[in-house]
Amino acid sequence: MVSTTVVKKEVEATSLKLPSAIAILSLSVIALGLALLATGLPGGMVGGMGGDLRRWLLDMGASRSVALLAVSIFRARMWVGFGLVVLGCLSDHFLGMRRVWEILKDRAGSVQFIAICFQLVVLTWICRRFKLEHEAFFGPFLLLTATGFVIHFLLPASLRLQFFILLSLVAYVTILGWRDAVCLSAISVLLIGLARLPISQWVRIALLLLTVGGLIYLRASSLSLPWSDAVWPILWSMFLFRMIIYLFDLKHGKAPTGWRHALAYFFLLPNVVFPLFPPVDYTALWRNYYTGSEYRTYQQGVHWMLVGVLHLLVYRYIDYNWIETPETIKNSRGLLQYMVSNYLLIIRLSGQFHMIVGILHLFGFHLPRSMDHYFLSTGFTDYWRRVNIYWKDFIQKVIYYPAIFRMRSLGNTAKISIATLIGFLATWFFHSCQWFGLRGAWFLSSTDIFFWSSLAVLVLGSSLIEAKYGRKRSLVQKRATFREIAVHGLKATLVFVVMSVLWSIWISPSMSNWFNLVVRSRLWWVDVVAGIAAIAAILTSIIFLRDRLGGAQTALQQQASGKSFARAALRTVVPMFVLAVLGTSQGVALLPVFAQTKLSELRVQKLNKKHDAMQFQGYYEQLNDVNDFNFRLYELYSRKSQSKGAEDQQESGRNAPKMQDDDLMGTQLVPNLDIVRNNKPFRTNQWGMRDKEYTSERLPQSMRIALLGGSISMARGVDVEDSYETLLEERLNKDWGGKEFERYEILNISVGAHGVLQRLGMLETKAIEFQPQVVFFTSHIEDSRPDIRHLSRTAIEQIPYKEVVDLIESAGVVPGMASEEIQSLLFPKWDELLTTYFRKAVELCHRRGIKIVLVVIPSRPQENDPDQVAKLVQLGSEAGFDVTFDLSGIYNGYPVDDVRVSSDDNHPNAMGHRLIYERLYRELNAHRELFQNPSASTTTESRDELNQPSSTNAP
Amino acid sequence: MTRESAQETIKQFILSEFLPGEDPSQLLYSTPLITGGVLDSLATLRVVEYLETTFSIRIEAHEADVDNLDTLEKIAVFLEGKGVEFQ
Repeated sequence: MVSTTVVKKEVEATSLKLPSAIAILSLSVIALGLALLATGLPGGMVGGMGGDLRRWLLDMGASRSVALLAVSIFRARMWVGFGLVVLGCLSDHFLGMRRVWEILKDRAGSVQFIAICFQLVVLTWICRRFKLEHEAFFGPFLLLTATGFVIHFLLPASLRLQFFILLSLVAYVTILGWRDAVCLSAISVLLIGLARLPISQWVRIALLLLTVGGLIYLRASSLSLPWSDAVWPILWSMFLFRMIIYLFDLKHGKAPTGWRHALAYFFLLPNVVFPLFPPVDYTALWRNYYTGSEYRTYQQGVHWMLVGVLHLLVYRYIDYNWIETPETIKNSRGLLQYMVSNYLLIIRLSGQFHMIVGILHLFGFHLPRSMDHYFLSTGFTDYWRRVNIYWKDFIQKVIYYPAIFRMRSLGNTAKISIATLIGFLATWFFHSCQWFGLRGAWFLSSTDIFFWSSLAVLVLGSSLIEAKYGRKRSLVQKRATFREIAVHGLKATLVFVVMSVLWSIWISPSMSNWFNLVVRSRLWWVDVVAGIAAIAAILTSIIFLRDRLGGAQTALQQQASGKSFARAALRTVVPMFVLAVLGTSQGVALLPVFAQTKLSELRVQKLNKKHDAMQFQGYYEQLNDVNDFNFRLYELYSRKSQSKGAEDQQESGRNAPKMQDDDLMGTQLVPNLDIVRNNKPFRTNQWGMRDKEYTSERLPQSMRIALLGGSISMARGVDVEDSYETLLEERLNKDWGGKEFERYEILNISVGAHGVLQRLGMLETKAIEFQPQVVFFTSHIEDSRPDIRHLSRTAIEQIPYKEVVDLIESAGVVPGMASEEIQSLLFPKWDELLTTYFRKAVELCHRRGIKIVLVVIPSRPQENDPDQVAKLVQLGSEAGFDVTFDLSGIYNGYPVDDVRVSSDDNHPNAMGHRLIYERLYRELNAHRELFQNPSASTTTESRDELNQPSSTNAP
Repeated sequence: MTRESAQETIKQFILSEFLPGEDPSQLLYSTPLITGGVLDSLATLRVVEYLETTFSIRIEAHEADVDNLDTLEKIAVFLEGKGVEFQ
């Protein structure tokens, strides 16, 4: 039976008269005017958006004249905004419902509303200034949310829910595009419709399962669909958990049954930019809809959004400064830092969830907090209750309680044990489903299973102890004694340390990988004890401060204290003001120099060292290798799905670019490929080069250059027409063609993720076959990672170069050794390895009269390590390269975002490639002797003679 | 049994089981128990067990929630809905 309160609300809602269209229009005009005024405030709150607006309109299909008009209006927004506000107020007063007058009559409410709007504007500015999360969030989404909030507030209560649904749909269209939004909406309406059919619950579930089965099939198949892959993560996160909750609540008659309630529930506004979404409870959503003072609800929402911002900034600081790559860990301290810092990244999840819940508050949904100081948990049951509260409530409602109530005949211990284990089994299963929605393929990982199993055992043990001995509860906060604080600190430390260890296992590629990491670190008990003591000291200090400063209130006290709007606003405005000041150049200048650098870093989006290395290694090329449940990777992959270019065929699970596997090379490009990859057309010629067609024989009077490189030279993320190789070839033919040589050809034999050894192998087995006169051998200061990683996974007998094998063996590598251990032994030998590769490459070329050029290209636009570059250049010179082109500094003076593919992809974009090409051309121009007296043989016989194996260790 | 006495009985149970040593006057009939953090999942199950035994009713899994058990007042209303007659 539906509760009386719910029925009342629905009847009240439907019995109100609909206001006139003029009233709605007037209020919308006022809100639009206010939004334009806000964007025009001094300080350039959203300065620079004119260009963004123009690009967005053109991308959405608007004509150039419409885009121009919109930009002109935007530039005059202060006057336009003022005019719109006046016009809207006048039309509402004389023709509408006089809603503005009603609001203004409530002076206290008006002041509170203006205060909330002001805070929202500042928050939006802060998110944009610090580029929090991603562009869709801090750009159109937050502006839409803020403007929508104003309109929503101005509307009569009876229309607010409908407007919220409309706003959510507009957000979906804005972020996903029309086609994807329409398809997503159609599928959603189908699923909701099936759930609401007036038939037996079991039949409805069966129909839903059939439909979901069809969707799963489509997800995993290679069929061409009318929507892009961007839809899947959003669709999954909308329905995976919420449909279960919705069906449960419908069955038990616990909440409103109307269509608009269902639409509002599934199309929750923040979901479109946060695919990782808390399982909001349907009953809780409506139970908490406009309860208490609406201004208090809005203010609470702004506060949660600010908490979210702070969490995201702390996460970013840890991510940029503390995360290291596993192979660089050599001692206990490194291991402890690795474990703790990776665990702390969960702060990002709490940041996002606070932001989500805060945004929902703005539209009247006074939901409870999603996370509650989980780092201060006193036990594992307490931890489970504090971290991701919505998830805990979901499992409790749908799995735990039903299981327990079915086992009434069993004793308490048996009931709790079985229900807890079932709950965690369900948690593991649902998490796997989440990943399927993202990746399109199921993924079984031993570390994942171990993590959830261990957590289940810990929570179960803690629950049984609590069931037997109880726990301390209090109605009012009492000042804790030092002993109580110390005990709390110790308990929190235990939980923190255990969770850090478990988390490090969870993110490891395998259990053996984790064990090797620990063994390699040569744990020293002094370091371990000191590390744990430091954690205990920090946590205990936080507990002490919270207790003394009144932060450790009971939940009851928190509810009671939340009655004063002014006090609530103050606790938000003060930290917000500090953050806003720190977001300005003047504010940053007030800080010490080292703090200025750190703060400036926080305003830039980039990958941490570990994921940057993974990207550089081409990890994203082989997503099945990605065992890292780091939410950053989730975000990156889902954002790859969401980026425009609907025809992108995702690599993982379907339409892979079919790379051939070769034991030494690892991968090579398949010939005659024609797919879309990284949102760009990706075609290969008959020789397996991402390049145009060439004859195998070098034509007379032509200068042929072979280019050997990795993903940068392969032009990952850009059209091949924009690659530096294509641009250079065109320029050479334009300026020099028909003179000394009829034509210039640059054969791009680069392959993504290839290290130096692989480039050497490609030189010997492929490049030389095409009789180049000159070889461009590219190198980067970050080459050590992909190369040593590849070496660690290659059987020694597959390496044809005796010198390389000798070096590997001298490092202590023996057959059967784990990959990570091999890597740790080889990293110190990198300079020697690189010298060996270089000398081999020079020998291969010079024997055939080929000139060889070392081209040093920055690994990423932000690269700034002149010492490493100088060392690389010196090694090249010593190895005998004919000349070295040092391209470092080519990006100087250019904003990072202007020269890279995206904030998540440091490969050069079209502009970046242009800069590489221009510098290369200048270098070639200054070294035209490279093209003089080419003496490479073209006869088959001499080629065969020269192509004898270059090492006695050839397989 | 009157409604008030039922609430008082349940109140005493909660105080003795979960809030020993706390000031009884702080626990009002309108004090939120689940949303206020006094009753977690394990404690709620014990309250359910107590209600079933004391009032001879059967509570289902979906009924053990905030809507029915969050305050002593709500518990009394819930009991009436389950057929418990108060004088």
